[in-house]
Amino acid sequence: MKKILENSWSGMVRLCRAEPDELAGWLEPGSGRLPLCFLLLVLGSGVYGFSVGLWRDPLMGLYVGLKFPLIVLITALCNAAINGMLAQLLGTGLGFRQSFTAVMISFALLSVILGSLSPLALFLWFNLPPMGSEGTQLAHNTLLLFHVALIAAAGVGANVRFFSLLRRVCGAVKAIQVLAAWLVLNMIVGCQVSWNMRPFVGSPGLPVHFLREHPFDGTFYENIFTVFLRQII
Amino acid sequence: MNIDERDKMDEKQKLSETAGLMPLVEALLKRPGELVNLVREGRGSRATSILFWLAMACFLIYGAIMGGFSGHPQWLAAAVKVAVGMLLAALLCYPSLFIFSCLSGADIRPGQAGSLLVGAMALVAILLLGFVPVAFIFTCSTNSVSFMGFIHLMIWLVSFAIGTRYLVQGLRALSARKPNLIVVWCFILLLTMVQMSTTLRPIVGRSPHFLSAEKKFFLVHWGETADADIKAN
Repeated sequence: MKKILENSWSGMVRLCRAEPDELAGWLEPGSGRLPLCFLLLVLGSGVYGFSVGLWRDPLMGLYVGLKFPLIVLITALCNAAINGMLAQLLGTGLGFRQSFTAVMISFALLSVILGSLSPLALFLWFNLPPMGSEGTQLAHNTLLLFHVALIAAAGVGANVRFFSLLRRVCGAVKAIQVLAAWLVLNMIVGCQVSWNMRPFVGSPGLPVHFLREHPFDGTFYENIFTVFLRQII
Repeated sequence: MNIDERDKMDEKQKLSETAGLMPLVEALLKRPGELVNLVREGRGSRATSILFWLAMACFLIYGAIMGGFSGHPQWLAAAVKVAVGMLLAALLCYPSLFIFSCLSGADIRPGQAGSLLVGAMALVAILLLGFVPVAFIFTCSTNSVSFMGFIHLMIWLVSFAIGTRYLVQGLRALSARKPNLIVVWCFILLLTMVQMSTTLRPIVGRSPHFLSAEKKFFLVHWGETADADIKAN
């Protein structure tokens, strides 16, 4: 057990340092780093998810702590095939397994960054007006903005570090192409999966649920389009 | 003095693992590189512990001066709040400091990150102690809470800017290639500290309660305090 913990810890530190030569070794078949990425992803995004839902209710915190890693994993699995194909089409030399490991590395990095920022998210929770008080709506909106900004910043940070790995593996031009392709795909699928698995912060007027009543009713993009039309017309 | 004599003198001045309080303070102010070397070589635990208690003592003294604006019993409450608040802010930001340090490429252990953080906080605290007479003169000269708050904020910002330079220098010595990330982290620490000052309010002003139950964002609190002062005048 102690050895597993030590290996996980040193793996996490290496992941954060993102030395391209070191991480390139993680993509080799039999490197055995996929379980570590999985573990870091579940722990980091789970702890962060808990801090997101806690303001609405501790039970909501627990739900979001479970849902957050699920979203990331479902997104990675849904795109595994197409990401692998794109990587091969773009001539990066990465196979299906390597592409999946690479995406998991970037998600694990994102989760570690978010996990390390969880104490600050908890501090924000502590400072917000509680649910049911006069400032409930303000607190809800502040939380939404804060977490969107935090996830965006962590995402940029993780992908900048991840880019150095791709550049080492397949050169700068192909690295830009494959990273852009993966980012677009992961964003499209990730937004939809998040939509299906809402709520996260939890609307003050709705009861606490693991999922909304009809989670597969409608899409994120339809909703954005409707809101857009409503603003114009 | 020839070069050999100067080398001998430097050798004498070189910070040892068992250095006492004054040599550590001197090193922190004049030769921070020596303290960084102690931390890098893993011999800084004793120095870290001394600097921690020094920082706490300095924060207590500065806090007492802050509380002196409102008189007894606020000087005691403010002293405790400043010391505890700084400790809590540092603890909340410590996980992200370690992850950001790794992301910036530093070859660092959690204990070393903690030692550098304590060193930086100690430098901030020593500088605050140096500003005590200045703060005291203003404390005796004004009745405006917002003006006094502004003076403390300026003193704090100057001390913070100088103190965190030690942290950046330390991480550079531990092979951090991207110190910009640490600058981002310093900004996060600064935000946490100013929010902490609002969470633990009143520190400068007067209140029948030790802590305020109302949750507020620091900018809202500052705006309301300034507004009340303007109306009172």
